[in-house]
Amino acid sequence: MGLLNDTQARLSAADEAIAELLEERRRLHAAMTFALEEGYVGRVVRLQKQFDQKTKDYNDLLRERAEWNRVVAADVPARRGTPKAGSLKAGSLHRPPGARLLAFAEFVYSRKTYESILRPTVMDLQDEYFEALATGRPGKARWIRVRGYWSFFAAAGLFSLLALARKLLSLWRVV
Amino acid sequence: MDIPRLSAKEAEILRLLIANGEMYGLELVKSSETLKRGTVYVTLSRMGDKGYVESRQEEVREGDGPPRRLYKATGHGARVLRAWDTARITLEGAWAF
Repeated sequence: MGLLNDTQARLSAADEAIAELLEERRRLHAAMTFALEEGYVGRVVRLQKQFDQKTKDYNDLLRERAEWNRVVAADVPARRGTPKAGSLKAGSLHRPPGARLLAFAEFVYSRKTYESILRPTVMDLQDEYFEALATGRPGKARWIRVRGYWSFFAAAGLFSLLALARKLLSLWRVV
Repeated sequence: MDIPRLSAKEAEILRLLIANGEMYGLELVKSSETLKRGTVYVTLSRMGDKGYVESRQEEVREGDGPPRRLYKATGHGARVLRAWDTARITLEGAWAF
C-alpha cells in the first residue's frame, strides 16, 4: 500500500511537470515562429536548442510515467488533462509583445514620432523579451513585458504633453 | 541669438556619446543610472531637433533582428556640453565663496 501511495504521488508530480513542460514548449514555439518570420536567425537557433531539450525532457517524463503506471492498480482513474503520448501539440502563433501598441501608434502619431520614438521603444522591449526567453527566464520576460509597456506609455504620454505644450506656447506667442 | 540650453539628461547623453562614439538607445539606458527606457528616445529626438546628436540606421544588424538606430554627438553638441560644464563649474566655484 505504501508503494502504491508513493507511486501515485510520483504520478501526480509527473503530471504537473508534464503540464509545465508543455506550457514552456508552447511559449518557446510561439517565440520561434515569430523569430523565424522576422528573420532573427540567431535567436531561432538558440530557441530551437531549448525547444529540443524540453521535448527530450517531456519524452523522458512520459516514459517514467508509463513505468510508474504499471505499478498502480488498473482501476486508478485517468487524470483529466494528462496528455497522451504522441499528442504533442505545438502552440499557436502569438503576437510579440507591443505589436498592437505599434499598430496603434502608427495610426495615431506622425511618421517621425513613430519612427524616432515609439518604434525604437517597442523594438527594445521585444529584443529584451526574446533574449530573456532564449536564456530560459520566462519570469524575467514577463517583467520585461510589463516594464516595456510602461516605457511605451511614458514615451507616448511625455511626447504628447511636450507637443501640446509647444502648440500652446506658439498660440500664446501669436496672441 | 538664443543661448543653447542643456538639461541634465541631455548632458548625460552627450557625455556617454562623446566617450563611446556611436551607441544604441538601449545601450545609453544600460550605461546610465538616470536615463530611462520611456524617455530616452524622446530626449534623443529633441536633441536631434536641436542639432546636438545625429542618428543613422545601421545597414546590417550584428546577430539577429531588424536594424536599429545608432546615435552620435555632433560637433555642436560637444561644444554646448563643454560650455555647459564650464558654466556649471564656474557657478559652483562662485557659490563656494
